[in-house]
Amino acid sequence: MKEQYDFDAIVVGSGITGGWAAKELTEAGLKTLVLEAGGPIDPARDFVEHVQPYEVPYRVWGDRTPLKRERPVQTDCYACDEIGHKFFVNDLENPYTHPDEAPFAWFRGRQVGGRSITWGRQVYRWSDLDFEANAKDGHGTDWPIRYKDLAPWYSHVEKFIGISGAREGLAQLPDGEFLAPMQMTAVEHTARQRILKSFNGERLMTIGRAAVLTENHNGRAACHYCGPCERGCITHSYFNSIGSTLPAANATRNLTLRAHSVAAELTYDAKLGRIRGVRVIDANTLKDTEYKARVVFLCASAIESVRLLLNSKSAQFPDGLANSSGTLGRFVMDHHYGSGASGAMNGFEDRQTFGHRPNGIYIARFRNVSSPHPEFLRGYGMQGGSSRSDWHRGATMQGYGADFKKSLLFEPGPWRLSAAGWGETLPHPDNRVSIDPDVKDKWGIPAARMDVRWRENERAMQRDMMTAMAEMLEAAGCSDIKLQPVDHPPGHCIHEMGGARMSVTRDVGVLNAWNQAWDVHNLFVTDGACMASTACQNPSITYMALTARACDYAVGRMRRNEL
Amino acid sequence: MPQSNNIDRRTLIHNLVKGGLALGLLPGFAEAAWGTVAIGSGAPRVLDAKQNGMIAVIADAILPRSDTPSATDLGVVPWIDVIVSDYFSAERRAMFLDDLKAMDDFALAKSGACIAALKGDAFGAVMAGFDAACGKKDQTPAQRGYVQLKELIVYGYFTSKPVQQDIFKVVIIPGRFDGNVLVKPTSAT
Repeated sequence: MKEQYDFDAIVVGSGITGGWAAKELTEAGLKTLVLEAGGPIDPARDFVEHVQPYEVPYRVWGDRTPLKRERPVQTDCYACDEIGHKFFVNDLENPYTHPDEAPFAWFRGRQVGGRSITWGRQVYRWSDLDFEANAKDGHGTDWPIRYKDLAPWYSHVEKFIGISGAREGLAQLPDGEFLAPMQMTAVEHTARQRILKSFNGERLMTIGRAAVLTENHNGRAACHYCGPCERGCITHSYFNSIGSTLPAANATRNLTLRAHSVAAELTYDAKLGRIRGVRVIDANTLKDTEYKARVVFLCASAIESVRLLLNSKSAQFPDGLANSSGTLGRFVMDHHYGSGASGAMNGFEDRQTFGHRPNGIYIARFRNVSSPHPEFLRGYGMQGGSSRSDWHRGATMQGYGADFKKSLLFEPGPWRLSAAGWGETLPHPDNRVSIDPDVKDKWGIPAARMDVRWRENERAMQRDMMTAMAEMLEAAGCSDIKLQPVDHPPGHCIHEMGGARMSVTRDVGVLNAWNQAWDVHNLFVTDGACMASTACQNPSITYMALTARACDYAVGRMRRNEL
Repeated sequence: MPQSNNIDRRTLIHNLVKGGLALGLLPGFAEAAWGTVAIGSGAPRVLDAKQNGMIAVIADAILPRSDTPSATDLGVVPWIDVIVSDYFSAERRAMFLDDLKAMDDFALAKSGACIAALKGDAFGAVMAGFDAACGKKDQTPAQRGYVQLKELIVYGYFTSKPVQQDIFKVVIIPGRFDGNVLVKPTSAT
């Protein structure tokens, strides 16, 4: 008997990758259901980027004590503050666990748009330095794709979402389809020239490549430089799924978007060897419903997608769906980041900036590019910027009285230039997500248990981030150089990757070269879970390109009745 | 939060963008309509009259009135009361109140009067002693109380609507970013 489907495709998650899957699948003519665990977002009501501190009771001051009652984890993210906390989950309703000695920060957004509302918007293509790294040094498993496989899909994504950036011609950081770059400050421009000269062109500081529009693009307005993109954007000037991919999908009339729909389990038809659909719990009524489709795309974020697979057990897959390799949940990674240095830059006292640039500077990876580093494998990029201190300095400096007040009101403080590293983390089988047998979320779904730890390669890289940045600051002409050691736990960078990695052969991974599950051919995983390594670049553009590529593959197979 | 104002402004922005108008042309009335002053008002919550008096004296010593308002002019003291009452944990609140008492005890021991009653050089000596602890470790409870208080005073003052809007003239929607602008000199105090 022929299987009856509710939809051609189901996409779990409505964020960065879910939005892309929805767009690509619906534009190909597939009737597509997008499931979102959280509620709908109305930009006019919910985006709060223009709210000023004096409009909220505590004026965004302090350590967020009142918010910690419901969001003890989320408030450790810079964006989960008095104004923007609505975009972060209630930790009491969404528990997860980890060993006491291995803290893990899991910052989550459950709403239509997911974390695309709050993401950092930095976008950098990977190169073959990254795709070949696992094969060359033996850590992790080889990627089943190379840069040439993804390059056209990077372009496809970039042309649609709009990326501002400068073309630099670096092999390790390929140029993309860029809109005009944002300006550097006078300090950054000078530092770039001095660093290039001092390091013979090996260390290059460029303006950040950001999914923020510097000109009107695809019906979205150019940035108005108000600053806090992480609180939303009424003009949709930075990329998020709400203002970009989901409207495109909706325009096809092939999209059904169901909010408040918590995916609890993928249902598996053992006879057909296929996913039958998704069992969903209504977040408000707790009603249980199964939606059936020919193909399912998991785009729920790395840990959520792996959790869903681990919670989808059957006689065929007693250890989690699509887990014949035994690697499901393993090789979980994040970028380790934050260590660096800062310095004072004199000679620019008559200069300041106007507007709030939602972007910074980027120093392309220079370690293990042309020669091996003696202390660690792989590498890191650096992100930072320059600014003059403002009245905030008065809160901790000595002084009081009329001159003190005048200084804080009218005299900008000294310029400082700083940057910190975003480092590649080696894949390790013991860095994993599993299911905690004793903890469930508000909807009765077993919770994730994280055990992810930094190891010596990451530690060595973090030390080098500080000394290398201090060298660059010195070359730039800075004084009062201060090292910034940072020890964020895994997860804190919000670049969770791995757990259902792509692989060349089915015995060492969960997904093939098309993000298709080796074991279940109508299942695709295209969020961070699919990653076989982290590189050092911010990963979202790579997730988007992989998603678009996987959708194209799936649609082709479906048209040929091969799925 | 004044939702109606927010929506009006946002609709305006949306329409401007749809109409292709420059955001730099946002009319002044829209700026003026944006938001309300939330500088803290109403009856004191946790801080008693003596504590409020001491905080007010210190606040106006740190940020006195000139041709710009003083800290108390802009309601910094009631805002601090909001923080102490609603924001601080019970433990932190108790410590802060103890530290305020330690500050007054120090003044009493050093100069024979509580802080609010000190004048001239005696007041200056107490303030200088407290202020020297800013940025330093190993603070006494009195110094710790002052450092915390100063942070709140400075923060409350500079985030107030009058400072942000009337003195800094913060442009919420700049419409452009320029990384290299000449600093304009000012004669205000």
